[in-house]
Amino acid sequence: MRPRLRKGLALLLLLTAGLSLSGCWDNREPQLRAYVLGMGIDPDPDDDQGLILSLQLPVPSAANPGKPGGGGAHGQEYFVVQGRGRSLATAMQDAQDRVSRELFFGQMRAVVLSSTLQPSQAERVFTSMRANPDVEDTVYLAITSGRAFDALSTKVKLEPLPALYFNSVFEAVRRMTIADPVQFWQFWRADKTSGWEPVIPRVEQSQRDSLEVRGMGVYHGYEFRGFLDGEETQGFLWLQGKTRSRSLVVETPSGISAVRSLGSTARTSIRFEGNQPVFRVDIALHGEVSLPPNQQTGGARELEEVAQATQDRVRDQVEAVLTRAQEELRADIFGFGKRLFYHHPRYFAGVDWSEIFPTVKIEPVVKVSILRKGAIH
Amino acid sequence: MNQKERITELQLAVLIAAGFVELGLYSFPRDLSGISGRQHLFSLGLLLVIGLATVWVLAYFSLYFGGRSAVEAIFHVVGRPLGLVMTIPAIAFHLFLGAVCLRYFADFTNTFFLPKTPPEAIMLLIILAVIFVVGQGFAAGARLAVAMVPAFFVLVLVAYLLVGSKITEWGAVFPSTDLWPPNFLAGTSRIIYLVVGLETIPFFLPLVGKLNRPYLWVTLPMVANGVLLLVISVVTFGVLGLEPTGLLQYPGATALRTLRMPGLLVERTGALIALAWTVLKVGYLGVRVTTSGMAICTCFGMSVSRYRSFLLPLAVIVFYMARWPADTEELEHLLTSWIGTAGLVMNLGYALFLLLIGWARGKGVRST
Repeated sequence: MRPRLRKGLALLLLLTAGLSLSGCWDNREPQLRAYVLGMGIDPDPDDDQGLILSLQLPVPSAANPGKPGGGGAHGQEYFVVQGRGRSLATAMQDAQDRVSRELFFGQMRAVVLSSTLQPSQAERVFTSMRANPDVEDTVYLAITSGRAFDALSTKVKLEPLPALYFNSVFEAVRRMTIADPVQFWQFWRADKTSGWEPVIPRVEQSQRDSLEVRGMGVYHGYEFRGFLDGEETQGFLWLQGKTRSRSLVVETPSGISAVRSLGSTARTSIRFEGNQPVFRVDIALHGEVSLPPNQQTGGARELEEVAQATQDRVRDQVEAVLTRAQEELRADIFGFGKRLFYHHPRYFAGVDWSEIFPTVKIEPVVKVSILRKGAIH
Repeated sequence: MNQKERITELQLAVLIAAGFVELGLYSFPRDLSGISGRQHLFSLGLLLVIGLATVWVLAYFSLYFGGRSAVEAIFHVVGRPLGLVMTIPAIAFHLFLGAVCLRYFADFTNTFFLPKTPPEAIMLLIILAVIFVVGQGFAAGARLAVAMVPAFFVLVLVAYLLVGSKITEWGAVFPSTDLWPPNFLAGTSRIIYLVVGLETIPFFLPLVGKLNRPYLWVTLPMVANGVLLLVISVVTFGVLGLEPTGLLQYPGATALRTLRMPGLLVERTGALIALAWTVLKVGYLGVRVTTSGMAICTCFGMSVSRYRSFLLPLAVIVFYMARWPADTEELEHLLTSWIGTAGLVMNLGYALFLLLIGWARGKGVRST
């Protein structure tokens, strides 16, 4: 090939490749996007299969009060736009029709579900979320007994945007929230694993301008079965070995005392009695006495009393959640069935776990160690 | 090849890795999930044994025929007519392997990162990059591979080790003690595509300038691949669990997406991996086009150093082949149904066949 022709072809190829540098089909300018930070899903009261989608969108101009067109200190920092449809995709499309900019879900931090969603509606929601590549697997889930729209519309203190409230609550590892953060992939994982049912932390509008995260919502597949209260949620967390920086107030013959958990573990083992599996859960809690009985530094006997009282309290919480899950909710949120599925697959394949879970014997064994008396600063 | 086109043993190892590590990297746990179940680590172990056996046989093949390239050795043993009958399907297969790899990448990128970008556009960009890199010459490509491929390994390993902190499903990770029925055998046959594309060994090993420890350098890429597959498998099953892994299209990538590092420069590890994977993809395709070009040169009686003459037509062929599968489902079916087996026949099968005839006819230059 002649050098000039070769150079000409190279130049042509270079110019052709240059066309692609301006961006691909998915190129979206930030100023043309509407960033969805929170999504709420309620059932449509006018359509028994319909969904109402509420999307919380920040107003970018409110973040630049000094600039022309900025919302200023008193400008609206966010607004909630709604869409209706029988699937998440059609509801999103409906919401998109009401917003000038393209909705972008890649920054979404929380999805709030109403507990009144029918199983078929919840299934459609989660399936659509799974299929939408923009929705991050790490988005947090929450469930409310009221309207999800209300939870997303509540102007919370300390946070500029309500959706960031969930982010702050769920990502603070040391706070004492009585709930377990659940990301979308964790819900989906539990739902798709045999012998394991998913849970979602509960959020409620406690006052007109306040949200409260406390308790867990229990699902069986996509069917909402009920809420765990604070005590039951504590018990659930002990069984998961997931408690840290949480205080328990206990009463001993010497007075009222407070024990702060420094960490806990839960180990589950399976044995068979006849043809029935028996689950033993060894819960080990390490704590410190943050408030000694009678406001004095406790002696060995007092500390033993505190440890015993804490042990009883933890066992009560664990037994409360086990009883509720087995007898009323009939949902294995602890994953006992999953352990059976992994370690005794043939036995698991021969039984209907949902049927036998309510009657399965579960033995919680709680051991509390008081590592230190705590310091008076 | 002239002296400038000679490569080192390290470059050989990296080129071998670039030529076979990548296909199905993020999807293989799904293929294992439904078949092997908790025996998935045994499946991987057996795969590694097959992979090691293949690289050793191919290295022995190359040394036995005394520096002849793969196609020269075929012609030497069975003659030109039969050699052509054996070589042409092998060239077509390896180009198709490149095409499948290209399409796999385009579909993956389309699913996760660029949903509105047509897969053809993604494929075209990769093809252009391959043309550029391979066009720079063999030695330059080898140097680039040394700079990029080990970095990819390290990056992927670090990312998966970070995600490893989220492992809770140890029950899905630990091998089952119940080995009957031995489902892991079927699992291995399903993921055999992870060790095809080793035709690089008989092509590139004769190009090494100073060959001191050939078996060590051909073994290293397979061991590194084994470690990578093991880490991906353990983390994916450990994070997602056994059954969910079987339901996802790219479970290895989904496991990576569960990691968020707020506040850090790289908040989404998936994007970082995709970036590195693009580089590896160019290497994989570059190797396919190079070996095919070298094979065609031998078929036409030309010097193998003129392989670049065929670069453009081969790239066009790969592009059109990549458009054949109708959708991702068909692509996955191709991967798991016959590509693995065909690849094993083209690599291990051909080498053993030719070695047997070579021994029988005394065609080798080495007695051992």
